[in-house]
Amino acid sequence: MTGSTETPAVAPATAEPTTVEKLRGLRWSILSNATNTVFSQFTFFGSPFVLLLSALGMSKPQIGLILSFLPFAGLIALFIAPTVARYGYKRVYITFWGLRKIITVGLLFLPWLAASLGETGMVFYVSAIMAGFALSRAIAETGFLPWVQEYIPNSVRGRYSATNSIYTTLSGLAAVGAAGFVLDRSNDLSAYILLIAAGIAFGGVSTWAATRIPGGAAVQRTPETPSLLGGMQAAMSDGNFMRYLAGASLVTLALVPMMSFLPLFMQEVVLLSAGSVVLLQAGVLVGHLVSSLAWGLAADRYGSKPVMIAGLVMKLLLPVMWFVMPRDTEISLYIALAIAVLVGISDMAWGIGAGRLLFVSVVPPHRKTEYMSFYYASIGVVGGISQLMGGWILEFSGGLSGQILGLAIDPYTPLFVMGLVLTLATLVILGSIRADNVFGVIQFAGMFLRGNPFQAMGAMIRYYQARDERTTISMTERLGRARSPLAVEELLETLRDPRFNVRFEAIIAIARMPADPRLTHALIEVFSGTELALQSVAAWAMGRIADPESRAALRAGLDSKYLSIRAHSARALGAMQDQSIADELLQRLPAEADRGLQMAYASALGNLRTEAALGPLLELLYATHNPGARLELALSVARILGDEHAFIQLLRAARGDLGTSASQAVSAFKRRLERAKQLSPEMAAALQDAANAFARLDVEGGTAGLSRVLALAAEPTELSTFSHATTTMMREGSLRLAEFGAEHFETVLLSLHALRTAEVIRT
Amino acid sequence: MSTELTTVEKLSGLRWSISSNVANTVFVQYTFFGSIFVLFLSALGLSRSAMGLVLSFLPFFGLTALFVAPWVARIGYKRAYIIFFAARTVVALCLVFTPWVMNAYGSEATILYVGVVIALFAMVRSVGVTASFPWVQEYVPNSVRGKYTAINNIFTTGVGFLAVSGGSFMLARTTGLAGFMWLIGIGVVFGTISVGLAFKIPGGAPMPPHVEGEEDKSRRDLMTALRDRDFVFYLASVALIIIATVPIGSFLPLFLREEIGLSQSAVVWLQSGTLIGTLLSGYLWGWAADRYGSIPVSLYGMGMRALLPLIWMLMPRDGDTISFGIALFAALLQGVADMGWGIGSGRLLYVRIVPPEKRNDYMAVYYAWIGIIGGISQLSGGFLLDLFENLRFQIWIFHVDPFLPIFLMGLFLPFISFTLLRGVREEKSIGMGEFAGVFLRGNPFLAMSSMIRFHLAKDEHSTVLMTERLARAKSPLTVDELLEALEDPRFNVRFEAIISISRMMPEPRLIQALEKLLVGSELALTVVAAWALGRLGDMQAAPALHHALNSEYRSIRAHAARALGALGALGDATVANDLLARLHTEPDKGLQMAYASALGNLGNTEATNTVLHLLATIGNEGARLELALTLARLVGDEHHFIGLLRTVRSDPATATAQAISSYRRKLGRRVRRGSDQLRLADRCAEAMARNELVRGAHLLTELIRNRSERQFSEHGNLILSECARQLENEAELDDVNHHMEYLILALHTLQVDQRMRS
Repeated sequence: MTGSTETPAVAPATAEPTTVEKLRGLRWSILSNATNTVFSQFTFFGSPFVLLLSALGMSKPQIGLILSFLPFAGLIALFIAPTVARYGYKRVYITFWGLRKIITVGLLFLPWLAASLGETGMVFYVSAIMAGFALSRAIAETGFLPWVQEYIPNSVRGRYSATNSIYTTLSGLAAVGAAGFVLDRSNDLSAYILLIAAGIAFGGVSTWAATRIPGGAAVQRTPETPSLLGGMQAAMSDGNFMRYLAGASLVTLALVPMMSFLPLFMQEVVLLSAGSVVLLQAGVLVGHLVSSLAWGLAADRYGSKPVMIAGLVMKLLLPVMWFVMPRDTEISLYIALAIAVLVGISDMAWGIGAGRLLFVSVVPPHRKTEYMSFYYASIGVVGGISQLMGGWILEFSGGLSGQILGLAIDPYTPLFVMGLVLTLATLVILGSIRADNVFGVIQFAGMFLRGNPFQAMGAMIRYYQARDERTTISMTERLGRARSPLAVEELLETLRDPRFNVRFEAIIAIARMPADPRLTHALIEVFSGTELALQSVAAWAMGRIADPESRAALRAGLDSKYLSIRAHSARALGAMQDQSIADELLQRLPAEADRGLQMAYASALGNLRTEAALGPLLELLYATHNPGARLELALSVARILGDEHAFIQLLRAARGDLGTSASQAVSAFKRRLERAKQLSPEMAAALQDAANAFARLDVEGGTAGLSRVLALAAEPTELSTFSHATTTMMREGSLRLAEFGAEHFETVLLSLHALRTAEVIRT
Repeated sequence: MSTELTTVEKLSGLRWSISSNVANTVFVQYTFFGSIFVLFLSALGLSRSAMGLVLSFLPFFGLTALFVAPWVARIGYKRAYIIFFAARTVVALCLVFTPWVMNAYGSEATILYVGVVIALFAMVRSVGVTASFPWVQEYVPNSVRGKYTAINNIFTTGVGFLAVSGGSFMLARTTGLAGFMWLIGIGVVFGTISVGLAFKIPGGAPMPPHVEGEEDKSRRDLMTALRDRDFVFYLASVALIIIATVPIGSFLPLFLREEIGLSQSAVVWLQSGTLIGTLLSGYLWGWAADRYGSIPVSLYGMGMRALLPLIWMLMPRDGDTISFGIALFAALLQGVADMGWGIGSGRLLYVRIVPPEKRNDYMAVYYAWIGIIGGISQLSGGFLLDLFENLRFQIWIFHVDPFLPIFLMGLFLPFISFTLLRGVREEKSIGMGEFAGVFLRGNPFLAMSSMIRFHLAKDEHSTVLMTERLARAKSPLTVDELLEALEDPRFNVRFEAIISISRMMPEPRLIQALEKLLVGSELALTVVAAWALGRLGDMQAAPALHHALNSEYRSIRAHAARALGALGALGDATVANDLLARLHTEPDKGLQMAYASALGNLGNTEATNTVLHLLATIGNEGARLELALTLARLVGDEHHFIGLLRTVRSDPATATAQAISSYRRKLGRRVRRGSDQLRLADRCAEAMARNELVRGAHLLTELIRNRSERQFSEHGNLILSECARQLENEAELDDVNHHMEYLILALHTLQVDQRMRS
């Protein structure tokens, strides 16, 4: 186990590149990888090489044996790692990366040697070249892995992997296309030789480009440097590393056999044509291209583990989908293509997530030599075995056929079952791995399921491209509108923007987001800050979001030295239905001298439906002259009486035609009393007079009539069943209507609302 | 007591009116107005010309209105309507005796009998309709007239569809005249129900007797109506539309069957397309007419109607699926267009054209006029078809056939009608372009759903959410609702409304509403209104904001200044001098910040020294950063400064080193290789990259001092000199993280100002 407190095993590297140098080197790394892809496709790793071996007359077992050199040679890493570190990762990599190209040159002589060496001689010759190549490659890669860990800054590792993947995929596509073009026009050895020669040229460029990458300096051995065995032991005793290795091995065993024989499954079982099977490759590449950047960014932002697990979950679906897909139908190809795109997407998620996890969280930088060599060797062995295993399983299950629940069983079914089971096991193993993730796996998945992730991603990209304040504000608004947790980081960033208007907009955008602890915390920070103009909006925003986490801050805001903060805090707490402040506000309301604060307290008490506040609110209403303020106070009273919506509807109707809406309200009350058999003749006459007067648009007459109605209704009688609040309002309404008539529009409304909400019980 | 109806009474009567109209629809479909009646006449053995003649009784009897109108007014519209509609139902009942007449007196006598019944029916009906027009004008409140017409249309169309289907079902299962008699009988029952329901509609009282010394309201005054320019224009416009559309409407089924080659059943199916168009668009047209005025709705309906002949003339004539599809689309469009024209022109007539006090004369003239024109147009269609019977040839893809003249009429007459109607004045109406813009800007579907949900919102929270949605649509359709939200008694709704308005496209009414808030008494909303005016970015708001700079509240002054800055960024810098003067004298830090920020937005380089001084004296980190941004704006390329700030925040060493390296590359193009400046830049970049920020700051100070001042602007030099001074102080204190803004500002100025001068 390597803890962070352990002393680094290597001397502090003075030659450690700065981040600037690292960033500058990344373009060369990508160029080197892209050109190396062409080399690989044209020489040992592409289908032209297998075709060449076949053209030379080699049998399939011979071809399999030769190809297995590549993974098995990885074992050498275990023995040469300390030497590689001593000589310098970069130097070793470039030397042996160059050497393998020189060895590859040997393939160019095949046409001339074919006649003189004979078949057996050819096998030995090609095997020797392959062995030399595999060995050089293994040594170079032993140096490469620790070097990669060093020269890519962790902050951009995901993005780097994604960009690298896009370029290598595109160059791979171009290389495959070119190879097909050349081989189509000539089927003799010269075409293969031409491709190999071109591949070597690209390999040369790849090696040259690698010389421009910084870092990879020699590591001086110190007395603290452990021996090779000691290093291996340390790696093997690191539970996290071993868990990762086990997961990576299992996933290799799960996927490599399945993917190797998938083309055969598609051709033999699904009955796709050879051309269609090749087309599926394009589907995979499309999956790579469309998803790589998103996975890379997600890995850098949310951590490697959720991205890796997302890839594994998708991989878990693949064997099931292949198993149940319709066979020999018109839609089979389209379904297979859709699955191929998913393969591409899952490959990217797994590749970027697992790769980043290895470099950032699993391998301690000061132990990279031992860990990486052990990793490389192990994966090599597992890779070799997995290649062979697929063939064995298929051979063993050759005669398998039948049906379960209407689904066909065939020789490929065991491969799918193995793929499913081993991927599931990998999920279990890697699910508990220690990593750098900021978010849990479920949380990560939830981010894409809440709000509008597409709008969020679009807004995020455009936010970074915004060139001026106006566009930034516009994008900030869009970020909030997406209501997606994906946009949280950007919104937090906008809160720190130096532009006042952007920060203001950010608070508003955050107010429109679903509650999120980080956003609430950020709002609380703004609220407790020094910028008064933003503090009050932050208070409003907290009330708008109604996250209970912000209540404490808002309660503290009630005692702020700024009146506006106190007012906004009271309103926000009222909107959040925080009953704990009701008594406090009830005490403050009569004592408060400031009109604005009185309004805010009254509004909050109304929101809290505090019946005890009815008296003080009516007093305040009586003493207030501003029509807007009176209307807001009337609403507070209406809320206490109940059915806020009815009050608002009445207000809207009354603004258009007070007489008509008042007449309708009075008539409705009369009908209710009639139905409940509680309508006295006196009341009936008063109601009719009021309704008629209002209907004739005689508002003053109607108001006087309404005052009489309220006085009658508020009188205690045997039939009276109205609540205390309603009766209080009726009494007050009767008095004020008599005093002010229709001049106090909101009193008319409140009186009508009292009639509307009065509970009439049928006798 | 006044006999004038109250709105409450009017509103309570509308449901009875709609019910009566619905029942009447069944009556008319089964008796004199539907295709069933034409089939009935055909079954009696009437020739087509005889049929045309008896059917023209219906419109021509409209002329009666001119003579009976004063009497109708005297006895009361409601009474006249009910009496004569009841009478017409009784007359219609006479048709039930047709088989008996046929058996007793033979076919010629039967035809005569039916002709007399129709004439009687047309006469009695015309008196009833003469009364109905002024009565409808009275009992439908203008504020909901469009909506009423739309709802009425939806119900009558739906019931009409059911009635026709039922009639078709009945006729398919009976032989001879029996089926017709059953249907006429059912129609009469519904006619009676319709009259019964009309009893419940208020209004239509008799005109009060003439009192000596007062104006005699019952006196005929048709000349006033005929001298009314708007009324005459309206009548001419309506007449042209009738002439343009009635012949097409009558003969379109023949055209589709004979020329296009559609089957009989396909032609019948097309009717459902028209009905669907009617049902889909009815409410929308009604709502639009009430909100935006009748004229744009009429004109758009008319415009769509004018498009239809083009579609019919150019559609493929193979009778295949494509032809049917196009015909169905045209039928749908016809339903939509008819609804637009019907609702718009009807509302215009009642609300604007006919003065309520003169409705008796106006409506009589109107009814007589459309009766004459309707009758003539019925006859003219057949006449034109006969006249051009032999017209048939083809030019390229255009087919010329006997229907071409009536299509050309349908195409061109609406344009003349259009011109006439545009001459009619209507208050509270918007222009056609504006009306189209209302539906084409933003997201009208989101707007409409939000408007509905806004009115249905039950509590504050949902009203706030709907207010937000209203603005999200960015559609002018929602302007009225947003203005309503601004007047909501709930503070949070008003607050949300201001924010939502700030996200809308600038609209004069919204700007005015915000300006009103700006001078209001609610401080909490006033400041947000000032911000919102800046956010809207419309220069119309500049004078109000400029005025707000003198507000007694500092927060309003600050927001107004910032808003002016935001507006100034769009091209106007008229307030710069005022702000600069205020900045020099203002003691309040918050206001200083606001003025400085606004001046930065306005690109006022004269403020450089003052802002640098402010930056040097202010302690708050956020404020310092904002002032640095203000200075960066004066240098130019704000985006560069923001980008630099973001990268510096995440990795100061790398970001600053990269910025120096970038400056070094530009410098390399100006100075000789190996110069001191280049060496300094290399060392500075190296120090920064190694995260030795203090050493880097020292070297940067040296680099700035060694610069060639000619390569920078005057204010750029001022900024760089101040940055160098401050960085040196910081470096001496061994801490550059404390005042990172000088480092960023210096790097920004080095890169950007130099770039601008090169």
